[in-house]
Amino acid sequence: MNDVVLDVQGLSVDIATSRGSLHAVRDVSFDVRRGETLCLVGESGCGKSMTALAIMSLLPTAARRTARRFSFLGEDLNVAGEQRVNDLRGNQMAMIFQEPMTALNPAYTIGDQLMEPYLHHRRSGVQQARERAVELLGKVGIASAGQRLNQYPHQLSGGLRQRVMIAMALMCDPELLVADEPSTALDVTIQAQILRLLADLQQELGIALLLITHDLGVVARIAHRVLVMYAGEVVEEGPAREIFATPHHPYTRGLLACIPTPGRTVRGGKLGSIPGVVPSLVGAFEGCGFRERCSLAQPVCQRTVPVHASPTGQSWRCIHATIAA
Amino acid sequence: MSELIAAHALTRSFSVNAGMFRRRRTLRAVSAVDLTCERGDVLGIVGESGCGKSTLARMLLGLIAPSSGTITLDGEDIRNIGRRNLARRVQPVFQDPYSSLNPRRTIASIVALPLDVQQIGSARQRRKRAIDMLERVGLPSRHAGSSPGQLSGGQRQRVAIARALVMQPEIVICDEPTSALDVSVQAQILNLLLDLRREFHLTYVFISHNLAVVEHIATQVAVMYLGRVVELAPTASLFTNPQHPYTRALLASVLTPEPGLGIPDTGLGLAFPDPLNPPSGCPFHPRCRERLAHCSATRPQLGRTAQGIVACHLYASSAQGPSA
Repeated sequence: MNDVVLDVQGLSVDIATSRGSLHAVRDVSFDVRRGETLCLVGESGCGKSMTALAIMSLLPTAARRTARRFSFLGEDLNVAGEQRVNDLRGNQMAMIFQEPMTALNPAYTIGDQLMEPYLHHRRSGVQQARERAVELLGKVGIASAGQRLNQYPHQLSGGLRQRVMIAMALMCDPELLVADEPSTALDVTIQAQILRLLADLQQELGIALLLITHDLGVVARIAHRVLVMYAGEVVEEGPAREIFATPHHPYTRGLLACIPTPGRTVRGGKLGSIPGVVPSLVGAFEGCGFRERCSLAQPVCQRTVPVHASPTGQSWRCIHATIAA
Repeated sequence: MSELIAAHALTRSFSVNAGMFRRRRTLRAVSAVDLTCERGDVLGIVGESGCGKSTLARMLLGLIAPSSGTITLDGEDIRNIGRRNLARRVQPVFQDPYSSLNPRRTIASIVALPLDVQQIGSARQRRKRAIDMLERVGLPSRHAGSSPGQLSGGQRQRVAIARALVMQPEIVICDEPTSALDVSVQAQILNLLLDLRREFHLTYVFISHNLAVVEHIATQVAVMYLGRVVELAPTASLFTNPQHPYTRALLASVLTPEPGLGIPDTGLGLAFPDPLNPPSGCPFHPRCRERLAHCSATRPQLGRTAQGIVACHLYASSAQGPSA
């Protein structure tokens, strides 16, 4: 199984707060393979962005990461020092952030910012880095790339800036690309273009893509496999088709019922909704995090919840092995 | 036809700085928009950012004055109605429930503020009405003394809705009311808005970039592009049979949760036009797949088709009205 680029088992992120330890990510396990798109989906506060930052070793100082296994291309990153992580980040593992407005430095030209990781990691000459930048701007669909290099971020539209971000992430041929809500700040028309570009590049370059989003529409169209997160935990995972066709976990089912979808929901009719709010993740927590909002909850949901699996590769963390539709 | 609120040739320009040593330039955020919304309708307005949706909303609320053109409410020019009377009849719900509520006031006093301003009833009656309205939107009275900071995003948006409805307005202008919310909360708010509309016989102008949401809630939909309405039709026909190439591209780019369909190619290209320097002729022509030779020369007028109203040369033969 040398196709596995990233293998994470039992990842937890705890954040020290004045009220105690906040368990933002709890015992999350997954792997991402070459040429595969894995989507982490969930609502705000479910721990999906913290998972991404933990993988990139970019967590805020108050947060502490622990993992039973954290291996990148066979290398144990649990024991890797800061220097080693710095060598990998922006090189073999790269990240695309949500806000291309804030992720680019307004004081430097996009050429400078594109070339920086290449100059640093490859120790190449400026001319070589420049050629690589032009090549990648072309690849992400930006015309007259040579002139664009001298422009500043404010001279580009949001869609173009996000293309620059993608090009920057690809400068050093990464094996793993982590994209945190890469299309959320964009208009729908531009969103479709950016996702198409990401999917095409990912196939062409055989990258392992870990995409984080709250948008189930995006997940349905781009993901090979899906992890549904709720309150810091993975509640359901499996191949995208199965997750959307036969969601098992009550949260996944509830989430899908919330989205107005032509043909499935009645125009002007009642949408499904999930009552209640996400539980506090501060302090000790046991049992199913969704139980207080779940219509199928039982007293046993307060205890450790089993994980069920289907032959199609789907698994879900719930006391119910099957749910009558 | 009982048209409740209508815009007639509504235009709003802003003077913007193009650079330190350059002359100020004029940006036309909304250009010659004609719209009508009948009593009881939900008029959805969709378009990409910068198309003028929010400027239009602020004009309909009387918050900014049009550069030219008029807005009528029940046939009366809103300039003759007066700010305070207009506020009794038209109320807003804004996008961001974090910045639209005063963090230093309690929920009950936020909701009672419109009544205070209008000097309706005694202080006790105003508080009672505010608390009743909060309960109606799903916030139990124990929250009345909370400050916005103690509430979640969805609860805050409920407060904003209660504040808009406490005056019993005829029209609520919702500018991206669910865009800042999670999908499960978005569904709760949409359900609430639909219930309230029936209960209080409300008319909504519902602005959103989320086409699935607009399709769900609206009865009529206007599509805007670079400050102009390019298509207006009843919701069902707009979504099943879009006429304008821009509407078609917009609908094609919606990602519904259906795996296996892949990511659509919108064919819109990279070039979003500069609103300071809009393209000649049809503003959409540089991105249009179906453009004709004269699209860059003459701007198509809004003309009636079997579906609704559309501004596109493709339908010129069936369109009526003056040709420019």
